[in-house]
Amino acid sequence: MIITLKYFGLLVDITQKKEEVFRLDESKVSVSFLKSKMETAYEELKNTNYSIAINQSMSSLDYTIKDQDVVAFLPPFAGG
Amino acid sequence: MINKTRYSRQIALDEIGESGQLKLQNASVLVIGAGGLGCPVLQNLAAAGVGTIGIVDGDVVEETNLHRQLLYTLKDCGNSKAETAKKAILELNPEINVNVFPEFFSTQNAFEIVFDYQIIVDCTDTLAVRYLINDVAVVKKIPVVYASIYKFEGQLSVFNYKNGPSYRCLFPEQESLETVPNCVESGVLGVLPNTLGILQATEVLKIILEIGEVLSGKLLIYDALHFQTQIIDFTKNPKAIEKGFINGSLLLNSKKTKEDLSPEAFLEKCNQSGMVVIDVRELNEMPEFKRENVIQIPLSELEEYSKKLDKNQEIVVFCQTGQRSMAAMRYLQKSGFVGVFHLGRGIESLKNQIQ
Repeated sequence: MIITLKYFGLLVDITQKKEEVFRLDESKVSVSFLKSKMETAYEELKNTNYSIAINQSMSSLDYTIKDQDVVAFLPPFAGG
Repeated sequence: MINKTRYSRQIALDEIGESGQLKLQNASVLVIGAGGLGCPVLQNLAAAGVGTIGIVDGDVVEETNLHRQLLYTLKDCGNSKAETAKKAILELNPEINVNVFPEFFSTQNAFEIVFDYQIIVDCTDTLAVRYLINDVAVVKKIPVVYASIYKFEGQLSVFNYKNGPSYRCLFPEQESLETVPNCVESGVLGVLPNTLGILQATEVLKIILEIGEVLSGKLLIYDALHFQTQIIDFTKNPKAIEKGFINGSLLLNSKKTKEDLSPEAFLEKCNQSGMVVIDVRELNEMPEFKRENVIQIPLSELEEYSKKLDKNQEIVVFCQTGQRSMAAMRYLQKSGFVGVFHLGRGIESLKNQIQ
């Protein structure tokens, strides 16, 4: 399956991109599976606080991601 | 009585009218943080005629603030932000009441400060303070209009609105993670907090006026550099709300201490489990005060050391006479630590007890 990943805030600094397309052999995966895959690809993510939204809706770790989904990685911003 | 001339252009709106203007006049809004976000919020709420505005900020104006914090001028540098902001918005609109709290929002003053405000506007710049605001607001059932920024991006949402989701529902707190950088560390484009602050003020006005659709259960993300906006939906997480409620309730019922500790209060704090006590004197200074939870970090090394500490952690600092520990306490508060105390007159005031 093919999914689009979007990064915000500090995560853009970590991944060095705002967006990327990700190909996975699986036809569906859980959010927690993707999270651990991402944290292998970008080690610094492990030490970062972020929430994950699927298709513009905040999701829990057991949610199932399907082909063509858009996954947003959202860290809290602190500045004011 | 409302001033029909000053507010005529907004009274002319069917959605507002004289009754709406009266709602604004009777409203009370607490703005926590009078920096990049706080300045435009204060300016716009004052101009719109919000009757009572509270300003919380323990910081002073610095030259580095001036490119984005437009209530301040060069001659204000070194003066209290809360006091200066009050003066500036009263010049803009002398018909409102402004209360100032020239102190940092902390576990010790939080409930006293929010006491009878109807809406809180979160304009702070550290996560620990944002969680503290959340927990207090959940207990007091006060809506929070939130914004935060990072470099060229901003986030906006409204929490606790009509029993809606809270900050913890969106960003559950995670232990022992690296801290999230603020404007000092990562830089900020001056216009960005102004854009977000104006959006915060807009949400505040909508809540008071009961018009339109409030940004509750939705997170707006604005990317100024690419002009992109996104809205992410999120729902209530009962566990996250409960965590905030429990934290807030514990805090509400805990004993509050002044930040300047008496010798007795200092010893009591030192005996509390989990308390971190920092001796900010140089290593050879006498008398010694050694305990299991006392660490020796000279003032000059505190900045580096404090990066390792959890900002929710309660901390007591002390020195010889109270001067250096006062500076240490102010530094930690400014960096976003929410529960910091110091031994008011230094370890010398304790000589008899510890020998």
